[in-house]
Amino acid sequence: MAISRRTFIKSSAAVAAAASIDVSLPGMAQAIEFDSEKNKIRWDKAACRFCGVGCGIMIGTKDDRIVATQADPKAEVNKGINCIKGYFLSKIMYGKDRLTTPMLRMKHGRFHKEGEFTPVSWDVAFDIMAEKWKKTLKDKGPEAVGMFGSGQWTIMEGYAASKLMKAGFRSNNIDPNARHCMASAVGGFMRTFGSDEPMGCYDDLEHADAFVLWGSNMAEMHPILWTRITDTRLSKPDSEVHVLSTYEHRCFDLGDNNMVFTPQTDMVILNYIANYIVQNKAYDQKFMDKHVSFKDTLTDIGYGLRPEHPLEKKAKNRGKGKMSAITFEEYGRLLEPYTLEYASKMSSVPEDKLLRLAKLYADPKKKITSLWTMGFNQHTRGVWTNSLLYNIHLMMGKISEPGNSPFSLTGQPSACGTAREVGTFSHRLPADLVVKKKKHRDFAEKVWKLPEGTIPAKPGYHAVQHNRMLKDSVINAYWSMCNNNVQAAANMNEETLPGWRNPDNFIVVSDPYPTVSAMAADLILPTAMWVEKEGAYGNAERRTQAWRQQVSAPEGAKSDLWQLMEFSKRFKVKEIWPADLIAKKPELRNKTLYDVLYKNGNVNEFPTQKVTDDDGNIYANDEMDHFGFYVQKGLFEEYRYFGTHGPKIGHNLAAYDQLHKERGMRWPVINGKETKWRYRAGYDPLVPAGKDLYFYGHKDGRANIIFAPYEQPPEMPDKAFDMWLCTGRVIEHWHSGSMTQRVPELYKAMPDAQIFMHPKDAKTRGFKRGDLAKVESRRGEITALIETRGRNKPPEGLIFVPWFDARRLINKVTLDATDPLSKQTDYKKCAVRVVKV
Amino acid sequence: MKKIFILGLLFISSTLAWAGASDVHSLRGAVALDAPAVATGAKEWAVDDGKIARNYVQQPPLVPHDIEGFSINKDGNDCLNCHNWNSEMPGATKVAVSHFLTRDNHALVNISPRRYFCTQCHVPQRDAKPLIANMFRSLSEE
Repeated sequence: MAISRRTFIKSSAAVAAAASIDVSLPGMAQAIEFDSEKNKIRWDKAACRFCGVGCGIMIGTKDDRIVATQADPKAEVNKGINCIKGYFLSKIMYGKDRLTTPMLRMKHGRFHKEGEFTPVSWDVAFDIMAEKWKKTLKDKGPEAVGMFGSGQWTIMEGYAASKLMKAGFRSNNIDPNARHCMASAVGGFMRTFGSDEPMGCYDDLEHADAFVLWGSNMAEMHPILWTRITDTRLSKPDSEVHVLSTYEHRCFDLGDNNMVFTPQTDMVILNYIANYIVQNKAYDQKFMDKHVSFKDTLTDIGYGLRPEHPLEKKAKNRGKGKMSAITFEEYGRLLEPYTLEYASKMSSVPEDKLLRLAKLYADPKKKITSLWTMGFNQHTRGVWTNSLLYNIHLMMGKISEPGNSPFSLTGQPSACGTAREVGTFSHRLPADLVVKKKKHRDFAEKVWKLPEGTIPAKPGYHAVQHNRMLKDSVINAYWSMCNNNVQAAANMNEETLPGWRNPDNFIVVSDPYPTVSAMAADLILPTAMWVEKEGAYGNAERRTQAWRQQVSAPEGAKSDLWQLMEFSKRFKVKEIWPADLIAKKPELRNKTLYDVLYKNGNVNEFPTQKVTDDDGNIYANDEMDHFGFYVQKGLFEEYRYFGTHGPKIGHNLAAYDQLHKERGMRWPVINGKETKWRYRAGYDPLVPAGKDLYFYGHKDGRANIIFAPYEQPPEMPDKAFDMWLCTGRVIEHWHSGSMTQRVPELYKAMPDAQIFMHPKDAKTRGFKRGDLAKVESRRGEITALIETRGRNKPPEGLIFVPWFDARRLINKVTLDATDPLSKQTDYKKCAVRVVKV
Repeated sequence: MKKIFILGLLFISSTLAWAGASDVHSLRGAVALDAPAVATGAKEWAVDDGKIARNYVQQPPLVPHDIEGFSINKDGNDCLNCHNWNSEMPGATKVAVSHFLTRDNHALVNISPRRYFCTQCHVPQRDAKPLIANMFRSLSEE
């Protein structure tokens, strides 16, 4: 490789500068204290705070502060490597503006919606909160309170919150930010397999011959999994990487077959591949006969917009997901229009590239791992699209075995563990149970020792609906925890801000830092974060990972768990439950929600104990000290019962004590052993004897191949707004940047969100690289700098703008259209124009 | 006219309130949530000012120079021109021995493919003042 002159000059200059600093003088030998206490750091394991990969981290502490972090060499997930964010975890808790006291908007010594944030005690904070909640419950009932939760909550926090909302306040209006990232994946899993989460695991990344990325920029968003794919691709002969995206990104650097497609036409490409397999009779007939059913689904289902929107009025089957059985022959006929020519024309991908991809899937000898994230999930036909990919794997029988794996990647560290498995969604209960089914509610009520009928049967409002209902004054008391939804939710100007600032509403935000959401709230609660508390996360490969509390939170900051449980003490059952419900269990009448939900004989089953590691180090547990029992263990063990004894099989988690000893375990954990591949005999002990493979999420053991056609997105570029806008993340920042923007090294690596744009588009609009420009949609506008030579290279007609930047807030521009089945927002497609400031 | 005046007042009061009063601010500083984006300008790469001090020995070194135009792809890696263990470029930080190990700790002759994409861990810095001070204390400062 030739060294460029420019590089050489730069490096030489660096050397000169370094030499002038690093020069060591004779006679100044450095003395090192090898044996003193000063040389010692306590190291203990934890899971990374950031993405759904779930890397193992070693935390170095000294004198109750984190002094270093490193990648855990023993962790199976990452084996000693982190991404740039992970390497700077040590700094995320030390931003100078950590909140340490509750702050209430006040005027003349009392709460006022337009008042100034004023420090108050926790008592005062909970007083006003309880007053607002009680008034709302009394005036309007449970459907007027709401909670917005998180795939970054610990498992125990999500579980405690879900209990408080669904069983305590008896409101299903709890939904996590995971609605924005994983809901379509869940929808796809439930419809195709009847059981959430992937059948495969990260080991597939070493076993596969080929990788296909569908709308996933793993190089930036799942960097450590990308190192595993890179490892396989560069060291395994004949392995290959196919990348599909609506713009060129870093994954293209490793790609053998790179495809930039027109937004939404991934559906066309997927149906083309299925059609190719049918036309060429490449399918695995035996596999299909034994393990698959064929389904069709209702079409023209709308876009999850407000009901009065013209597109919703026009939709024939608005929000409907009904499926009906079809034959394989009928399925083949439905696929017929999806020819190579049609797919190429619709997607703008050259025919030879599409054909190469189809041949790869159709080759019975190639082991294929397909990977996707927000490209599929943040999609107004996301549920359909997830299933369209499963269709291909199922026709070929390429599933549930090493290397053959349709793998839905996760965004958040515990989107799987907390949001999905615990079921903090508005329609769910733990372990794949749903509020709609009486049998499922009965089971939950039995485990929770509550009277029949405590949990409401009607699903609550989902995330996008929360902001609309706040705006419409339907929800009036609202608590947002462990997320930054004012920055994260689409259509901030028309829905989020008017909802949060609506004078009818009282909004509480719990956060370690003053986020954009905190600024839009009425009460801010200072929150302990990450390893300032004991907790557990569940990653994308079904791995549950626990950690001990490593350091104390700043004085005044309290964990989400502490906040939820303390707040529950403010409510007596008789104040908020109806008489007929109390009559079924009169002994609860004078008890508090705390007594009923957490001091119920299960959660408080485990007394206080010393938390230690194998080296005898002792760890604090602030919640255990405060409440007088081992809160995290009690919550986890009560929750675990849903998986081991509930109506849906296959969700067996490891015992809490075992999790503290292991580098995480992948469920189902049976007899203390984890499961790498679900549904396949020899790997999954839950497959019935005599079966080679059994999709036990469905009663008949079969998975569904579900046909769905291409349907247009709700908003496409036109004369007035002539470009596509795609939003997303960058490697340096986690989500809204509330942690990573406070780490100087990460901030300086990527200080501002830019407008990634094709050079020709910039030129025709009169922009040079680095110019300030305005991005406008029908809903709002932001300004940012033009980048024509950055890491993302969009095709003409599309821009990419990341959403981490609180100073820009790209979600003022985005559209709050959702998949009508999953209710997940499509953040990848709306129409904008880019103009001079 | 009167109507406009009232509207103006409303706008100002709500703007102030949403900016967060007293001394609580988001990363937007005093700029209200409904106000236009915070002004920004192009920031140059912090170039050639020597190695950037690490906070702890496990931290990957930051890149003290501009890497625009460098390419790392399956055909080649520009960074290794200067940073490979046997590169003769004086002063360039050499890749650590850890970078030659496979997942299973088997030492290779060449850099491990799992460490191939340098920018996943090593990033250059823009010439920008941090938005918020960070109170992390490195042990080397003590």
